[in-house]
Amino acid sequence: MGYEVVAVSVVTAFWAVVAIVLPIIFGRGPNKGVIQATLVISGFSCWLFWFLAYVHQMNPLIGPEMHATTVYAIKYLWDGNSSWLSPNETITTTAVPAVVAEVSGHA
Amino acid sequence: MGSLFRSEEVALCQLFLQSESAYTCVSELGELGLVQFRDLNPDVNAFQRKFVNEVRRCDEMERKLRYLEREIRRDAIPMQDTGDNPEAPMPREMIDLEANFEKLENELKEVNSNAEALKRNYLELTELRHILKKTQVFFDEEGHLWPWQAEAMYPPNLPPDQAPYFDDDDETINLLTDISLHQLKHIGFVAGVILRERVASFERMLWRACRGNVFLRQAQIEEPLEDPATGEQVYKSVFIIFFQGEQLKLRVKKICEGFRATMYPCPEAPADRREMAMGVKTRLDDLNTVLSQTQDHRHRVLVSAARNLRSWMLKVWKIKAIYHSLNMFNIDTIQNGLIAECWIPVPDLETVQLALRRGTEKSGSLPAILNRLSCVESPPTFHRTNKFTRAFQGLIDSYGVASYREMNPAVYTIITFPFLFAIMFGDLGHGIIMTLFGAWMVWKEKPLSVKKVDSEIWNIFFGGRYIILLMGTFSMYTGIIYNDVFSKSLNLFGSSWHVPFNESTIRDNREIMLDPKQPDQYEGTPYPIGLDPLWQLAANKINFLNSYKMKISIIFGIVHMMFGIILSLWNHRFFNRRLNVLCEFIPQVLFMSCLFVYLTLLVFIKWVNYGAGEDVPLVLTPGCAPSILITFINMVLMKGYEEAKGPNSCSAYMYDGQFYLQRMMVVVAVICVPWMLVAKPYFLYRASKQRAMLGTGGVEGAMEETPSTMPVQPAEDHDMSEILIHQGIHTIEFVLGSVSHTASYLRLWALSLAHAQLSEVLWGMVLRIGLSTAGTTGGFAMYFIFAAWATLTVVILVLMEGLSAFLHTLRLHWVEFQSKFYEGQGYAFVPFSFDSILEANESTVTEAK
Repeated sequence: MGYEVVAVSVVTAFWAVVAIVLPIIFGRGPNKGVIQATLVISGFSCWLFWFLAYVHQMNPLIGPEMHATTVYAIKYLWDGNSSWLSPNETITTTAVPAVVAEVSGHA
Repeated sequence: MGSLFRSEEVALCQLFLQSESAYTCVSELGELGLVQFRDLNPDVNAFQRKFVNEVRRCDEMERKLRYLEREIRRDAIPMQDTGDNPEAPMPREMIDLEANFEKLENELKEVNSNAEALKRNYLELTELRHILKKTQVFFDEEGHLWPWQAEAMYPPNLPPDQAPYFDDDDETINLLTDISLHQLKHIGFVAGVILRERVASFERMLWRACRGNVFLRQAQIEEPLEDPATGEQVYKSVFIIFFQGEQLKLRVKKICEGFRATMYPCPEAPADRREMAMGVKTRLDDLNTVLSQTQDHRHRVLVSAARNLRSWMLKVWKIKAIYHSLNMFNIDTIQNGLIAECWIPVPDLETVQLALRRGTEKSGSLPAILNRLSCVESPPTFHRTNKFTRAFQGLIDSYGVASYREMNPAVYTIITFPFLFAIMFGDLGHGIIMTLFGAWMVWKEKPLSVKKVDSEIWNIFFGGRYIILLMGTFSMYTGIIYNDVFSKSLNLFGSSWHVPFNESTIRDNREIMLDPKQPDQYEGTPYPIGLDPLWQLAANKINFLNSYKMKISIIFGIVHMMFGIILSLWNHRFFNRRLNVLCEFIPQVLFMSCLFVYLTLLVFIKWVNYGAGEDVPLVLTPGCAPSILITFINMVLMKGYEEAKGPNSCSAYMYDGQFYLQRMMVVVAVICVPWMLVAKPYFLYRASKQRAMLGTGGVEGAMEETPSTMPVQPAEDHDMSEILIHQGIHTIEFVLGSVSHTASYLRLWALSLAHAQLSEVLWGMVLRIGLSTAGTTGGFAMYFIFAAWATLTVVILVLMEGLSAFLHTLRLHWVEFQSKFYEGQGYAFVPFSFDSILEANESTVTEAK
């Protein structure tokens, strides 16, 4: 059960504003009903869509399986400055272009 | 009122019009466009109605105007479209208009016939001039060859190349010299003009018919001549035929006539010819001045007509429309008035009254009287749409116009349609392209709508501009959640997956799978918005995406269908069908909840409970996670599993007591089926029996009350077998439908998978060639490869895939969603409105062009 309170509350609050607050603000005029229905449905659908993607990744049952070159590229490009790297690991910056070339040829 | 949720209340009204004011009143109503007249004389033939004469006069005027329009178009005079909308003229002005058009038409016809005669004359003279010029050359030539003949001023005989038909040259000359002048005088000739393409066959015909005894010379007229009948430019040739004897002359003339050649008299003596040429020249000059004056006159007439043509056309169309409506009225012979019946939306009754008052004031007669009638039949369905909602209403109406005052699915479709589309079309890049196109059409709405384009495809796109805009916007959102931009991902928030391996580990393995159990490989919290970008690079991406997309398709499908069922409750409550709530709505909701809502619950339980963390008990590890599909199938088959042996073995159950709960829910669902099938017919049967005992009335009102404002439905024939069959079909449709419809929502997954795969293939097969070619050549190659990739992206991925996703979305709405609550048995409210009549007329005019 891993979830991030900030992410969940920010996204939920955003769509709650669309689905609950905006309909109250736009609650006048001849097209009031249509505007309100539109906002509520779009807020709910979009939130649900995000929510399902989030919940699906919350407890991964499988991990991504990648080609070694892809792993290499991720290690140096995405995790380059990350503390997840063990300290005794030496980053050879000269290796990076070679890896990138290899990845683009492989992916 | 005014909302789109239900169609508006429409009242049947009776209208008493004085015969003097009927015309002006109907004209006002036509400008208003809020009244639909009913035909009160459906049995009367169109030729026997009261205002046939007027309609015929309008037709006549329209014909004249069309004639004028054709003439104006032929002279390529620009017609002014000021865009103003003249009111329908009073009946007495019709006579003026008629006289005016009559005058114009006659004038134009006269000018045209004059011009045509002049042109024919001109053509004849031109041809004659050419004949004189060309034949002169022939005569000179021949004279040069045979000087003795030129002296004798006789037409030449045969040239040397025709000689084989005589014995030989010498003999010919001998013969000629021997014949007397008297005989030579019998050599006659015919000169004329013929179409150039007919010359060859003409020559052959002459040769065969006269057995080679005539001699034809021809010369082409270089400049084209105008055919006065068609106005086309044609090429012609001058010919001259020599022959001997009266019989040949007749034959030659006949052939000439047969080939539509025009023959002209051509004097034999050169002096006469010269004189004639002079005469022709002066006459041509005169004709030219006359012709140009005629043309000027015609032009002036047409230019002045072009200025008013459009407004005249509008006036005539309006008059015609008014008389058509008046023909639908009944004639009140006693009070010298007309009686009309019409449908009017209740909120607009006031406006209609005002329009009627304006109409009577104009004609200065007694006021018109508007009475509301109660009616048995169901009124037409009227949705007041605006430019935004119209396209969505169109999607619904093309399935079936809503029954009177039924829930209108269009309101919900405004969002659900683009949203379901976007689930299948989820790609940020393609979404942006679509949004830009839609936004451009909305931005340039006014100039684009004024420009009338005949292309049907463009009109469809333009009509659906708001749908396209919304579809594009939602596709952008789903693209962000799918983390898919032209098949690539954006790593905006930092992936949750990390690679802790050292280089040697990576080097030693061909493929490496990250383990969600290890905290140094998986952070423990998912990527905040959308799918983790790492999955786009993974070899097992499809496994992961399929499991995700299938689940969300089913969940969205069930939410959509449950929403439809809940809308049916609003229909039942509005129409006060308590029996339907008890015998249809409640069992339907129970049935769906016990089977399909429970299915989504299982999905959530699996998502939340099962995981790969370090502290997770064995029962909840990935290896023990049961398949939801198998669980669901076994639930319906009521099949149990063995209980888990201990804490260290997997269990097929996801929670305690699952088997008994599931068995109970299946039983409830099964009970719902006979409930739906039998309950309603039984109650109806009991009610009709009680009514029979109590006499008429009473129980019917208790079971199916109809509010007083509602029109009373015609008493249904409670034929038991009919009700049973109807209910049976309805039940079977729902029960079988709930399974097949749920499965049908899997198309959301299938199409979205196909879309993502296609876009990935396109990137891999096309754009990557350009990206991986090194050096300057790579740069140049990229220029063309990018063009190819961009074209294919727009044509295949945005247009074709978009169309396919659109059709699938349409089906999901029409079948899966609307079958839950929508009847669609109504008929549309078609008000008598000048605007729509003029629009229809104009479109037929442009089509005819």
